[in-house]
Amino acid sequence: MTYNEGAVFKWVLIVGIAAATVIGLTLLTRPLVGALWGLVLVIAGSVYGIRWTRDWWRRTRDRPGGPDHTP
Amino acid sequence: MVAAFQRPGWYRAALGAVIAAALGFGLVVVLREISGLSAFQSEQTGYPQVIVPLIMAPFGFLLGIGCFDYWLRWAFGLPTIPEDHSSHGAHSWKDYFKVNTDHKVIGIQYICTTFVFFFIGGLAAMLIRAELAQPGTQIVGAGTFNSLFSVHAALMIFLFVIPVFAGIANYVLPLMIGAPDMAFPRLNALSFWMLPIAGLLFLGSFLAPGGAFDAGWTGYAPLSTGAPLGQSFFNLGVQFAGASSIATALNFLVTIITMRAPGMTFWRMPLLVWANLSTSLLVVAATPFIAGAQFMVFFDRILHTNFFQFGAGGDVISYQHIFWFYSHPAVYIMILPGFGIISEVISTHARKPIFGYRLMALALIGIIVLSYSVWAHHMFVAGMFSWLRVPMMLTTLLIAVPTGIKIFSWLGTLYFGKIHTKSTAMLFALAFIVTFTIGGISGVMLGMVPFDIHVSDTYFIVAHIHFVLFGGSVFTIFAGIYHWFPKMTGRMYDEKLGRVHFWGTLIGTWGTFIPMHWIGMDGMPRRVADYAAQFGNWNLLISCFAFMLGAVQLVFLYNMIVSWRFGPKAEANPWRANSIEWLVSSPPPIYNFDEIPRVVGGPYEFGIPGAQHAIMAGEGAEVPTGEPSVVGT
Amino acid sequence: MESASVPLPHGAGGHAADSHHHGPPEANQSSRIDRQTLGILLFIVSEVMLFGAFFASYFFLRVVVNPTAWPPKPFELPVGVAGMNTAILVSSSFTIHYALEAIRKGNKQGMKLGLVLTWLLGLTFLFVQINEYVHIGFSARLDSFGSIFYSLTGLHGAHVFAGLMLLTFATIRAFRGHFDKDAEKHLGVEVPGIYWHFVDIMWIIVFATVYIL
Repeated sequence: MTYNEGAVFKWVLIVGIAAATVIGLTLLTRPLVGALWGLVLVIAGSVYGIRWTRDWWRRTRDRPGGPDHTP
Repeated sequence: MVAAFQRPGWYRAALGAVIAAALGFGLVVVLREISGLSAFQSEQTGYPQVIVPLIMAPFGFLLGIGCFDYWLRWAFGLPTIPEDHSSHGAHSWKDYFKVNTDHKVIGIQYICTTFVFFFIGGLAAMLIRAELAQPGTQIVGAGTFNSLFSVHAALMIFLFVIPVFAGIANYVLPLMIGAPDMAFPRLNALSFWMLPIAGLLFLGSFLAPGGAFDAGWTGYAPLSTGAPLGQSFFNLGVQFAGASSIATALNFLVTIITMRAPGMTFWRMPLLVWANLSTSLLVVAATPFIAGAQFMVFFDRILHTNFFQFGAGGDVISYQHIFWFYSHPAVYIMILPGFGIISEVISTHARKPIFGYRLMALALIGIIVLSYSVWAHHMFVAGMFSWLRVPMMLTTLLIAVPTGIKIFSWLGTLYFGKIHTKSTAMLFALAFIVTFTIGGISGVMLGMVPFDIHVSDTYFIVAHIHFVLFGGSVFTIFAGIYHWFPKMTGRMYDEKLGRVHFWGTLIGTWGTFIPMHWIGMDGMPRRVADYAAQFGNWNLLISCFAFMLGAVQLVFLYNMIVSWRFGPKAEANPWRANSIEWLVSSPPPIYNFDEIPRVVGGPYEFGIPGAQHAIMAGEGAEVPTGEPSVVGT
Repeated sequence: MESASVPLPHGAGGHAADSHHHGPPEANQSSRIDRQTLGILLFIVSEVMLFGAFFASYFFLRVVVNPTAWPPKPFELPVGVAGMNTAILVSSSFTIHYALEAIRKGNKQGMKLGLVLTWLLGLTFLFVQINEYVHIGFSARLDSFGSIFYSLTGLHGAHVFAGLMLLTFATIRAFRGHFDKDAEKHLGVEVPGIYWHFVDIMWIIVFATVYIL
């Protein structure tokens, strides 16, 4: 996994598209529908974030590294 | 003389502050004249001619003292010398009054500064107790009393408990994880120098027309939006203290994640490091909420916005929601580093490995996750949505579980340990467990909605907060100071005076705050200068104990100052502890290590033959060579 | 990325391993992520929460207080202008990405072009925003709506300004020939780039919430 500007740029695209769907829904229907869809997206994003954090922790916690590291 | 004003330092800082303040003042006067307003506006909440200079002067000060010198050169592409360590380390006492990038110097700067504010805040507490010793008003009027308890709380919370932990960790943490310094030393210096600014703003509010801020440290709207000028000082001071603690927390996180010594896995980190990791996560994610809340109050005051103005579509309760969404996590910000200190002290002085090390670390994570879900238990009687009460009660009771895990783990560590109390630190740690447990249990009581409604805004609340914050956090701070005093100063403190201080503090704390539970349940309201005559005897007793508690802190002050100067030289490892900071000399070398140590085991393996936590360079057969390994991401 | 030689700008990056060095020892790099990138990401977390405080206030004022008209009559938000402004800011994310892609390939001219374009787009955004404030017809004192509208957009504007400052520094240094191909030699563009993306993402959310919903 890399952490650089490119990784963040990916999120600009994701959030951009997600926001575009919210805006589209709102303009086509009512603000309430758009808001609820936005809420769904936020919850989905949070779930993704929590899962990612858990995976990160699993990858990180037990890898000792250093001279005594035996893979 | 001109040269003195060009170098970073106090001359240039004073000059910068004056110029910036004058600039701000001029800006306000000119802009208001242009817009056809009178240059000086003195309605109760406004005073732009004071506020704008007050915002700008600190930046002039920081620029002058030299916090931004390197960054500005860097930003404009001028040559910078990353290898220039001229502002690293203290060679004389004067270096403690300069911008320094050495985490050890910054740690001492933090601790000394915060203790200054501790004693000022304590003085306010003594005045409060003097006033409350008898029914009626004798010493200070009701208005001054309100200012006194507000300033007392604001100083103790924002200028003592939160930053002093940052100070202790600043000193110890990089050593503990085997790092030569913090990740961003210049940011570290900046976060320290923002701190005295916040303190001076809080204290400076006494000079403001209308007196110091008097809406409590909570500054509830709309009380605060209509309060005199002093409240704006509070709003601004909180911003500086908050920015300081966010920057420090960010620094800790980056240091812990990216700069651990080879072999120092997450499961080998001392619990103080774990505690600061979790605290820093809380600070980074929660502190912006108090910044937001104070911004809104500030805007309502000086720009006449309507965030909290009922008639204009504002929502008064939203202040409390936003405020407590920070300030409940903040109580954990004020205790988790203390948990870390206690773990170090208990394990070292009971000569036993921490009982349930991993669970201790996970309990910290459990606390930070849960702490975001309990904020509204401060608002049971505020008139918020009534459906929110029971969920908040349940999460509040739930958060006692990880805290209980920690208490029982300490007891498990002590069980069959070779406990000795040669060090005052251990006395404070043992007293902490008892006192904090009592405070924690009264917290569980307060979590129950019916009981909370009964004792809301009474002295029971005061008793609870002081049991957990004084009997809890401050005891851990004392434990930490005594524990690492030999490491920080290279001298031993006077153990006899330490004991006087300990017993005085313990008896003073219990004598002062235990009776408050009773008078609180009988209905004595807090934050009021006068009270019904029936509480007179109890309050006299409380005040007597409070004065004793105050007086005995002077013993501590004397002990620290005299021992720092004249105490017997300390060995590198007077407590025979394992973690890395004890493997270097006391005080540690200027760059901490000649070579980064290598971690080969857990930090608490007392009593296990042959167990080692870390190997210093030149000690073992293998010296770490070649590629420093990359751990995780 | 197994490189052990990630230079540590505050540590003893370029030190030869003298036996009696006078600087600090080089810190062990215990994570793949470098300090500056992790630092800016954590700072962004903090910033998101600051916006979160104001969004919380927004929803309190709009949903809990539930005023009859939002925005109060007869005012309307200039959705078209703001939408155009959104397009400007989003495209600036593409230009800064172009700049970073260029320098990753060692193309310094491309980086300079990308930086200058981004800077100009950011400045345009700010000017359009200020112009919008001038012509919008209500002030921050217009009920709670005006307060939260100006706070959210103003807070974001302040972040655009901060991002522009960072970009200015990066541009100055780019034209002084400071950055290069290796990952650690263009952190000075990378970090402002990440921050700029955050500013962009935040605007998309502010726009969708304040102007559209």
